[in-house]
Amino acid sequence: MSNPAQALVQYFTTRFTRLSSFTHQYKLRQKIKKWRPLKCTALEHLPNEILLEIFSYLTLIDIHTSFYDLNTRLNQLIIFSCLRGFIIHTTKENNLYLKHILPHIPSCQINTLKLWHNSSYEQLLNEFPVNLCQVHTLVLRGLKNLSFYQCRQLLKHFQYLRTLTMIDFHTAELDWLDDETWKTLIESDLPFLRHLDVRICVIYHKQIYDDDKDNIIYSFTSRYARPTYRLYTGSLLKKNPILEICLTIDQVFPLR
Amino acid sequence: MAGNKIKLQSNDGDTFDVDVEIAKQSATIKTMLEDLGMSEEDDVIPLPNVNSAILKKVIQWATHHKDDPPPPEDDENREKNLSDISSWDQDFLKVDQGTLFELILAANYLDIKGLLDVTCKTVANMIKGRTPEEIRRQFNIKNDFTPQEEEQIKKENEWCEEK
Repeated sequence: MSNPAQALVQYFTTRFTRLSSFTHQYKLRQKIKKWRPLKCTALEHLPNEILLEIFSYLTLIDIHTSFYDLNTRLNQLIIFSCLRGFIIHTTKENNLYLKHILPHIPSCQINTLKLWHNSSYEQLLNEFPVNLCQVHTLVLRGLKNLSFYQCRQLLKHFQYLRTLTMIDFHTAELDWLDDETWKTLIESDLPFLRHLDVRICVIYHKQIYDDDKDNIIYSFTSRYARPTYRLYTGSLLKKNPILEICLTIDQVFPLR
Repeated sequence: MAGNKIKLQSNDGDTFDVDVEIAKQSATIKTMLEDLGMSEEDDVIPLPNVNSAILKKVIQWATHHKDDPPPPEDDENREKNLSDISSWDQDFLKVDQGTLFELILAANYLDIKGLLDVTCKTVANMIKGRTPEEIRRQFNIKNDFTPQEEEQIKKENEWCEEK
């Protein structure tokens, strides 16, 4: 049994510890209340996702000319942005993309490529960057008035392609609707192709009778288990009354 | 919590009473209320990544835009327009760089698409047309290239001067 002196010491020790604990908790609460995160006062402190979001409001030329030699991180982000795909507005932007950015990216990093501009086609054919042959996903967008034959010349450079998307093609070339040409493309030119997403607008400049319309649609769709399609007649194309029919095929075809 | 109000708490302990509908412009808060089963009667919703000053600005923005139609779905193929910032938003975003960047971070954390759009657009407008040196000065970006790397970059960029 403890003596009175020990009991007194024990009493005060307990009270003091409890008081100390309360003080500590109070200070902690105050500290939490006053705590503020490190103020983000610089663009560099923004995370990559935000910088990429900001980049998405700028053109490729804007980004490259304003940021490209500032530091390593920004350079890497610009390259990453390019891999995600930019909307290419001008031939100059396309030159930048194809000649000065893509060739500097290691080929193993380029799995997906988006080409947006008509000049892409000619440039790619004339000066095909060797490091693009490993691309497995290709998005071609807004290429105008290409024949299917021309497109096949381009696609021959992407022999390992597994996914091909073609969007906003506006063309008057009828070979796009030739079933045999598609068959050759898919079975011979692109043997590894697994997914094909086609949104092509084929424009006819002459009257087409209903039977012909059916044949055209059937010609293309028969091989791909009759995908859905949209058919617009000339009366809907108010801007250009010369056009009689505009066939848009909008479907993902699982191939194999 | 009273009526259709909700309490939002900033990371420095301040609490703000906000209309639920205004708070729901934040997809993060909307998820907390709807998907995670938090009710309006719960004490407060803590927002540990937003300080009081910024939360106040965010609420001010959300209150002004409470009747806006929902923003369009993201479409990476859509061309984005830099010039369509309303005059109210332009005035609202006349703040120092630090505040602007914190608003971006808050909009991103709270998932308020409209605010993220307009703040990112504002920064993009600050960048557009500037030279790298102007950008470096304006945003205090540190150079981590070696002199050899810099020389190489200059050579690669010579084409930019061509018209």
